[in-house]
Amino acid sequence: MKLLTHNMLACHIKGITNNYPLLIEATKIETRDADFNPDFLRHIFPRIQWPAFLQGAETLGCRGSLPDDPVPEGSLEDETFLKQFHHALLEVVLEEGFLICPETQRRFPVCKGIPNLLLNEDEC
Amino acid sequence: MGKGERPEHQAPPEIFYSETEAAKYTSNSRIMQIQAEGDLALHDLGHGLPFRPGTFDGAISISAVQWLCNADKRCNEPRKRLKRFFETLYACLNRGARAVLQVYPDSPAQAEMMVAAAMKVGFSGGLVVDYPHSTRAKKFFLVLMAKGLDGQDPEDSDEGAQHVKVSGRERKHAGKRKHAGKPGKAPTGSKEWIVHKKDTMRKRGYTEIPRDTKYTGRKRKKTV
Repeated sequence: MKLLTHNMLACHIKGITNNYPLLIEATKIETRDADFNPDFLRHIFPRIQWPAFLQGAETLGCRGSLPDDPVPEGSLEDETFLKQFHHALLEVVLEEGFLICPETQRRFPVCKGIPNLLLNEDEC
Repeated sequence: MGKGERPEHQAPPEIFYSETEAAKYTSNSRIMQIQAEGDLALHDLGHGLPFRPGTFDGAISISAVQWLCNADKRCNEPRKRLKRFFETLYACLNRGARAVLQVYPDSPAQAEMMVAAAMKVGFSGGLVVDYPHSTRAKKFFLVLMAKGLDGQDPEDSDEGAQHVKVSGRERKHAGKRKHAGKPGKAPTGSKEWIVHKKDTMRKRGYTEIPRDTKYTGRKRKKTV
């Protein structure tokens, strides 16, 4: 699972309010090359929840020098920033570990890069 | 797959899509070719979609939503699961976004139930039927639009919204079409057609053909 996906996921247990972002507990992290596409990055940037992305990148150890508060006009033209953003967003993959709901502490296992988001009957 | 062998009626999806069944998909060269790259998640649609609000500009689904209409376990209630699915789908779409869900409803009532569940949570749109006259090529699409903030439908959706639409597209390779519209022939079921049929049968030597009267080919009066 990439951080791009993590950025969109929220805990879907019925009736909870504080469901985002899911915390990550990593036991195995892999890096896979992905095609560098600056246009895609500029396009997806406004859709990324930056604090959640940084939190994920820190957990997976790929934050590098990504800024707390990137300025869209400047950063998105900056090659170094785009490269780092690309790497953390698309190339670092959580292979094994857990996603943890921030409100209920419910743990969703991640196996072979695939999170298991099935709920128990009393949770939905 | 013949009649009465719908996968939803055989076993719950987690059992039906066993390794042998799944291999049909993963080893299919066409599927391998068109497969998009992305992440996977193991999930139950009836539990609601696990995405933060307003994330997507569009959603597609192929042959999935009809599974929600089945109660595989005692605790599964189709209406509840459909509602949960559609309300979370609505939430994770941007205003003005569209979702196209290809489904295999097993009856008109089931299609109606899916459309109603989608409309109830705020979607506009309806059911589009492709190749409506063909049994094999017929496809049902739930085409849904998430309304804009002002409560208006996006763009051109005022026509046909809230209605069940049947598109008139014909099969490209219709092949032999039976008898339809052959010049110089009376349409099947008409009085001329019946009289002609009876005449042919008489000529062939059949004897107990009723005579032609003013009642031939007339509809019966409805009895209350």
